[in-house]
Amino acid sequence: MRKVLLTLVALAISITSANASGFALYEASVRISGMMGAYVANGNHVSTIFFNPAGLAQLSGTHVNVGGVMIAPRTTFRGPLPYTTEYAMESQEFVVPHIYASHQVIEDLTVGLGVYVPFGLGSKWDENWVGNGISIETRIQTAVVNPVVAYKLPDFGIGDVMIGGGIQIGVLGNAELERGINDFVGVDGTIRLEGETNETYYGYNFGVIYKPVEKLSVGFSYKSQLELNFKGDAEFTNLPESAFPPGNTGSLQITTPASWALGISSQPVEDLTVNFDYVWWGWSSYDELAIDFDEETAVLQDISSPRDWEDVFQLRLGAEYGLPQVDNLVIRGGIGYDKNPAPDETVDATLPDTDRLLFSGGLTYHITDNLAFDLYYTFIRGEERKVDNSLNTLNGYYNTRAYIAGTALSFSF
Amino acid sequence: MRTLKTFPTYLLALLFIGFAACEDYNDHSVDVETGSVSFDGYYAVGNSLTAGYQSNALYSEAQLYAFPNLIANQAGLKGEFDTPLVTPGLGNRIEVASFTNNPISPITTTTTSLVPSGAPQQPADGFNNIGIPGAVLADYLNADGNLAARASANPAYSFAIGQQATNNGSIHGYIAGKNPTLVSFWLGNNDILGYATSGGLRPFTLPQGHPQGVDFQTMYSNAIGSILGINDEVKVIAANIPDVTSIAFTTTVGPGFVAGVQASGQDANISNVYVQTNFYSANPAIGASENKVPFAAYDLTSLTDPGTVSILLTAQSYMSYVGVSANQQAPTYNAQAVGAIVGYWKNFLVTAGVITQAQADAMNADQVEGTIEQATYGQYAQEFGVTPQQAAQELTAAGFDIEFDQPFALHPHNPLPSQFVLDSNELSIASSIVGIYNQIINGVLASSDRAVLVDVNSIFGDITANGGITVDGELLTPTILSLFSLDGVHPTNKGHGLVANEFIKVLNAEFNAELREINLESLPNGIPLGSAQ
Repeated sequence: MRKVLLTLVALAISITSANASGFALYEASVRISGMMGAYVANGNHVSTIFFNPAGLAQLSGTHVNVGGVMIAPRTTFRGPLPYTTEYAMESQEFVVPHIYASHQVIEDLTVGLGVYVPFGLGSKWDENWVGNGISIETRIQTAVVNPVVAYKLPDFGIGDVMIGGGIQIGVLGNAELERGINDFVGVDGTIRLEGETNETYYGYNFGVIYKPVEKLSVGFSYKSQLELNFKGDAEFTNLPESAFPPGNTGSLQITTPASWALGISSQPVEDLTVNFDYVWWGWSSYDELAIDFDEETAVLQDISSPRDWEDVFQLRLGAEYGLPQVDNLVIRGGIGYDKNPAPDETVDATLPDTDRLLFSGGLTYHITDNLAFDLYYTFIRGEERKVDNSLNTLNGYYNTRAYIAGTALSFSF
Repeated sequence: MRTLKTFPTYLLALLFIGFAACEDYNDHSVDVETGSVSFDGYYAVGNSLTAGYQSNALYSEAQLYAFPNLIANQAGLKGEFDTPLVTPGLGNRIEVASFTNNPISPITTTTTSLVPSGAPQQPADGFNNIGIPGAVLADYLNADGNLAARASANPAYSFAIGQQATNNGSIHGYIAGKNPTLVSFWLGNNDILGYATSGGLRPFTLPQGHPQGVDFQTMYSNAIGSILGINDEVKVIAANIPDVTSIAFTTTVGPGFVAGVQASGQDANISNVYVQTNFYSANPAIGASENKVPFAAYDLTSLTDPGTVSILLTAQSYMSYVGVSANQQAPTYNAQAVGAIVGYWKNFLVTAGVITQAQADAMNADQVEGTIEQATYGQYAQEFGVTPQQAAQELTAAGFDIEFDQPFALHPHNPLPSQFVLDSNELSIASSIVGIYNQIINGVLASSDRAVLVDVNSIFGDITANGGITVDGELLTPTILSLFSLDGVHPTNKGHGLVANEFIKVLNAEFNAELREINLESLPNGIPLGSAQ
């Protein structure tokens, strides 16, 4: 079983930032992303394991959800100032799967398991572009197995209270970084680092949902930081061995942010659910990109680039409507606004982040009582970002947009 | 495998196409405010520093980072500031053979002979950067009539100014035919640099009073006057001359040698290093004291101060021979070292015209010793107006002799050759001459408000005095591989960036331009690598 899980997880290839702030992924469920991921107070689909594990407590029986999301980001850079020559990030599409399962053990107690990608990043530029000394290719991949348990408290006469929590078991962590070394005349040197987390890393998550009356609920959920320690090889191409020792190894440590979400869910009219979530990310945990080489020379020194990211928020408004005219069909829509955590001085081509507007639409078609098909689409429009004071000296305009679509199947037993 | 090529995936891909046209973003134009100066006709006049010569060669990868090219880039002229790019290069480029991890000598070097694949193609309206490695002040108006002779020995002249070089024209002849709006002017360095880099053996340009007007005052004044006279609009931005002790060529070997002997514990055995000195009559106007003794002693402390004595970069390979004796019985005998030392002297005598190559080839070490002695008597006789016999008497009485059996550079009879050293007299002369040149430059530029000065002398002097400068978060030092390229004279890309920023500061202050300064970290280090890596 673990092997199957790991195989599926290994398909969880990296994604760009374009769908969430920094390199966090919020597109963890096709059904929920149809309503822009506003779900922390709602929680009555098995994929709530990601958004708020407490929600599982209202699911009886056994549920399984398997889905995949494809992300296509597009970014251009125009510069370096005062010039506006255009360079386009290489078009890549990333596929990110997820799996959720839950089972009600006894009344009011449900256990669940989620496998998803909480953080990821992928960017690629032409190896000769003007910023190749900053970035040619960057990839970060992670995958987490998240067993959870949820419990609905006994009735105290105040409404429903559900709590849930679990452990995040980090089973996959890869980081790759390639950039050019332009210090030598007429030489196209590159350095490529490939590292992985050799040990399992751990975190936790928990949440609570309070439903005072039938058509209103509020929720809160929290995910802890994860410490990713990547270790691996540093490969040098076209560079003098006396300065760049072959067979070198190195390490890189990244602490992902903690996050929490506070939301409200209501049913203003029959068959219509409207949710609003406020999500907070503690990106100030990412203050520096530090790469240590096991063998340093007078030329090759450990890298320490300031990042100084800030804590940021996201706003998510989503709605779900069961069309009365059409049986078995539910439609969804949502809008979102993400603030980006990177200050002007440190944002760069490895991850050209910006504030974003997101628009989503989705649907669920219940094929039978036990089987449903989910579909969604999101368009992300990043705000044009002019960088004039970059610490890495590459100044210009970044424009980013992204297209995301996903499909999933939900089974109930 | 990044994309799962299954049916749902193709379906999804179709959705993307529809939205792919959503591409609105704001147009931004390139707009640089240049104030009262126009860059439409910007020409850069100068020598190797203007051309972007680095590490003893002229090659395109370095020319692109010459300070005038960097200024033009900041002014919005990328792609329009034409430069006579030479590929693969011209000259014997010094390159890094390997990186050691020894902070005293961080690299070993090699040289590669670069030969141009052809002459750079002159564009219709000519080149904008006409810096010529080796150009002297006289070349601007061909004041000494020898431009064609210099050009025939140095293809860089015709690469830059075409027929003006072959027809015995002048640099001004080239400029006057364009429509210059701005001329950057940096000539005069070679007028003292020849003297400095040869250890005082080559002459410097007379500061004033040459009977045919081939002096710095006349030539500089005429040059600037000629440019300003082309039209009423053209502006001139000129840099003055740095002190010879603010370049790595003069400041590297002495301190490096001392650090090396201290690290190996040899310093206990060395009290004085002996150098060959040239003869001078007193001449306070150029800072020269009388010197009648052909050698001088400097202790290790003095060697760490290039203001007291400077061992030049050309001496570097010979410093490993210090202490070697030609006496085969001596424990410090080393055949290869002795061969190199004697070979140096033979070569020197041939170049100086004292003997022919054939005569040199036939000589043994004793005969070389004797020839050096004779040549020295002759120089003394010439300088002080006595007969060679009298010179011999006076010099012998002063302790002069040449004996290769004595330890090299550690005994007055086997001194470090004068070519490799700027002794106190020579340093004083160089400093005085540069001071006079710069006074002249100040005076000439002050006479017009269309001419402005970049005080490179103070900038380089401060950097040398402070041991470096921190710019854009990086410490840049006046050493090889940081601000100076491998030849110790010409700046690296970052050094050019520093110079360009100083020009930009002056352009902005004097002409109300708003050019952005360059972030030096954005400039690649441009280190040449030897081919066997």
